[in-house]
Amino acid sequence: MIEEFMKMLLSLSFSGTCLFLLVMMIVRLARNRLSRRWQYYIWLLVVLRFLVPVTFPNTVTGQLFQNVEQAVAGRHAADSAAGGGAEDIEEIAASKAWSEEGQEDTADKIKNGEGQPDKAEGGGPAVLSEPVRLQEELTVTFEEDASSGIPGGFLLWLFVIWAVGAFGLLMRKITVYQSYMRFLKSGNVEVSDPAMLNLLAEAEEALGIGRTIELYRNPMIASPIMTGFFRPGIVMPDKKMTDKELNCVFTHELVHFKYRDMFYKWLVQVTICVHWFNPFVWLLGKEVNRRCELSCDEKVVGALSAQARKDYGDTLLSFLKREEAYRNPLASITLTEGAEQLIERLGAIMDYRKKTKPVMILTTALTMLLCFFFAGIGAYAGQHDAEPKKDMIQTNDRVQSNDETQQDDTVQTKHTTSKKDTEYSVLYDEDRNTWYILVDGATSDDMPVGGASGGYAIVLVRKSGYASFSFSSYEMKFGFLKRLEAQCQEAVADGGISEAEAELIQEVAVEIAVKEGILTEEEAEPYMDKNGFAEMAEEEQDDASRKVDELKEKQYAYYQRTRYEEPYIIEYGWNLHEEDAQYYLHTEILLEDQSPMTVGFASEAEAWLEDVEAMEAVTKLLWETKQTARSRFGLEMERPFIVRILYLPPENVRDFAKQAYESDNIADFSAVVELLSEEEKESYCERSYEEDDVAFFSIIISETEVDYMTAFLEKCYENNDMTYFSIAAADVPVTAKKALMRRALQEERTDYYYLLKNM
Amino acid sequence: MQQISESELVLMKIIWKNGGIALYSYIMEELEKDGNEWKKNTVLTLLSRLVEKNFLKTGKIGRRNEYRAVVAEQEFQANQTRNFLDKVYEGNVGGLVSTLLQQDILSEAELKEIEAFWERRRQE
Repeated sequence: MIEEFMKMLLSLSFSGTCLFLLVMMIVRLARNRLSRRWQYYIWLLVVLRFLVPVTFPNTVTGQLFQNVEQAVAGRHAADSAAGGGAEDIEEIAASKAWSEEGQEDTADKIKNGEGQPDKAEGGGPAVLSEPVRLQEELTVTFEEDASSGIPGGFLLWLFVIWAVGAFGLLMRKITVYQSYMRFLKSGNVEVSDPAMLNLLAEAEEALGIGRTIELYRNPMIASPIMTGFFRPGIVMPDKKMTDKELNCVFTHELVHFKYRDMFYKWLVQVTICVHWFNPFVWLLGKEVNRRCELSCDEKVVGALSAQARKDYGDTLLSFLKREEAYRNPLASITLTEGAEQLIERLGAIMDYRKKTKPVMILTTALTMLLCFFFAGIGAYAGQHDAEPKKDMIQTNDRVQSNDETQQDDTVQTKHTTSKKDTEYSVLYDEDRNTWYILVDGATSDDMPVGGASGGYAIVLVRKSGYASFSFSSYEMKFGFLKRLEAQCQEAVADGGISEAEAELIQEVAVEIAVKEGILTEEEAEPYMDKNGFAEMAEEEQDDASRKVDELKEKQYAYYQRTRYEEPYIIEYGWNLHEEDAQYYLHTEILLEDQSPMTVGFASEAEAWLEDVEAMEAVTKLLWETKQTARSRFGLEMERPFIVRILYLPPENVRDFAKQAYESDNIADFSAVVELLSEEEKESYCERSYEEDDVAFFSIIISETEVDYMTAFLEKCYENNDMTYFSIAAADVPVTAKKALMRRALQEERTDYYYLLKNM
Repeated sequence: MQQISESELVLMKIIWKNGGIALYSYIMEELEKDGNEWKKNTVLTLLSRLVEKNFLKTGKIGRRNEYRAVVAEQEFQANQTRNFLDKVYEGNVGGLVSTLLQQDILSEAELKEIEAFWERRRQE
């Protein structure tokens, strides 16, 4: 029984891994040519291959397992016949298994009613009777152990290890989930405002969701969450949002609900528990989590008009800002990185288009191919007429090798470092890609709410506070340890952490890097030994700059914005997708340096082609944009596209700004904000702060005068308003920042201190 | 007794007015009459919260949903008054009555009426 089970488990792991690698290859090759939804759901096939032990006759895995078994059976029979011991390395494990035969005598003595066949001497009939005999033997051994309480039986032992791992992991995941749910529940307040409930109801209707979804507010969370299997509910952070934003958020969360993403995620978690010894399932878990949001974005955006898509992008934008401030207050994500990530995700949204026919055919073909593999790889299931010995060898090898590099993820592991005698434990939050190093007797209660947004983070948690170090996903690959070292040095210099803590963090980081496959063990070796550090870092640096070049080549995200070029409001974009570009009217204009540029015009803007002055304004604006795009982002402006032109004499700018603000039109507002008087800017600044409108606030504050900005920053600090503080701090001069850093340090408000420091 | 929100109270009042029992369709009609443009799922969510808070019981008549009040209006009023009294007047009824009188919410005549009512109750 156990033996068959272990065989099945291993064969599932094997065929699941094969399919995993195949799908991974396809997804990597196809990139964005396939729909993100497909890229998300195709993993379900892999998950099922890992879980479902159905098989067809003569599949690859089945054959493989059977062949191996037969070969070993033959060899073993020969060995036994010759009475030779097991010299072969491979046979060592087998010999352990064989040593059970010593117990066989005992077992058979107990079962004295049975006529015992002699040791398998390789004869035809003996091979057939072998599995039956071994099974009985195992059952007896088991019974015997149960009564005497002595652990024994190699296979049983393996099974127990597997079972303890699997169930322990599952229990751990469930309790972590439950405690998180309790945490949520304690802060949840039902939303009873009918206007907001109506918005939710509208979103439900639009998606054809019949049942009611609960709606809560929770001041303890940073971004909206969908919860509950049986009584689903959306939990909103305690933030004022506009109707448009709410609609975007609801739609996004409801799409998660409608497509049962929760079940999918838990199915993956179960797979991880069952195959915990297989590193690929952990990768699978990561991949599915990542694809989930992208797929959801795609689904939401698919049903939207171009304008609504922009709104969705705006909402994301405002949330990214909030997340930066709330979930990861100590984030050292610099402005450019933040912008890069934002551009990528917004780019994906604006880039959305229905998949063309060839792509759909390709997708169907790929799906069929993968389904064929699903069946073809098969699994080992059922009894075959061979000995199970080889299987045990495999099991043995596998579990041993995996014991060494076993990934622990959400499971807490305690280490005691011999050097400093500091006890610490590492906790990994999978969803946020954040590792928490708990020292000083700190517990998970001392952990800050939130983690890395978008990237990775390592957080040192003490009883008294915490310090965080974060990295973009790209830094994780290149220069991770170097960057960490730099961050640690700074923190030590500032007295934020002690030297010993810095060392500890770096040690743990190396472990993490190895565990996560960022560095191989050989690569990590020099880091353990401090001397090799500089050299390795240099190499990493080279890799890093190469990677930047690659990124630049690939970046073709669509940009869109609105500018005021007196006396016209011009909404325009560039890097319009080539396929989209063909639908619009084109004209060629000469830029300042006499270089020609082809410009697309949306139908709303076509009328202005005749207007000489308006075209002059367009030419001027495009020339400026081309310059700044190149100097600031190192990007070429290509395929510019005029969305809208509006005549706006300078005397009407004030009213226009007011109207834009009131109608929540960020793009229009930002186009004219710099033309407003200082007083007006300040009053908008106060207003957006009062009304808790982060998006507008972030635009206005950067336009105000330095003194005002600095005073406002202090106000935010005193009001303990982290979100606005982080935004206001972005443009404040260094001297003011330094002064505030000193103050924060004195007042022991380390979160503010690190926020400023990491900017 | 748990606290309920204003929108939930609106629904309770409709059900109480109808004798403590109402069909879902009736509730929707009444809401519309009062000029409340609440969506179907909004109302259903609020109703299910009331069921969870033990203010309502739900049953089906054929395919139609029926809601029955478990808490009577008087019971609710009494409870709310007591809460209010405890919270604002720390249980001091005299304080409440004097405010009512000072603000002309309670007229002299009404007070007399209450006194008479109280006398009758005591003699019984």
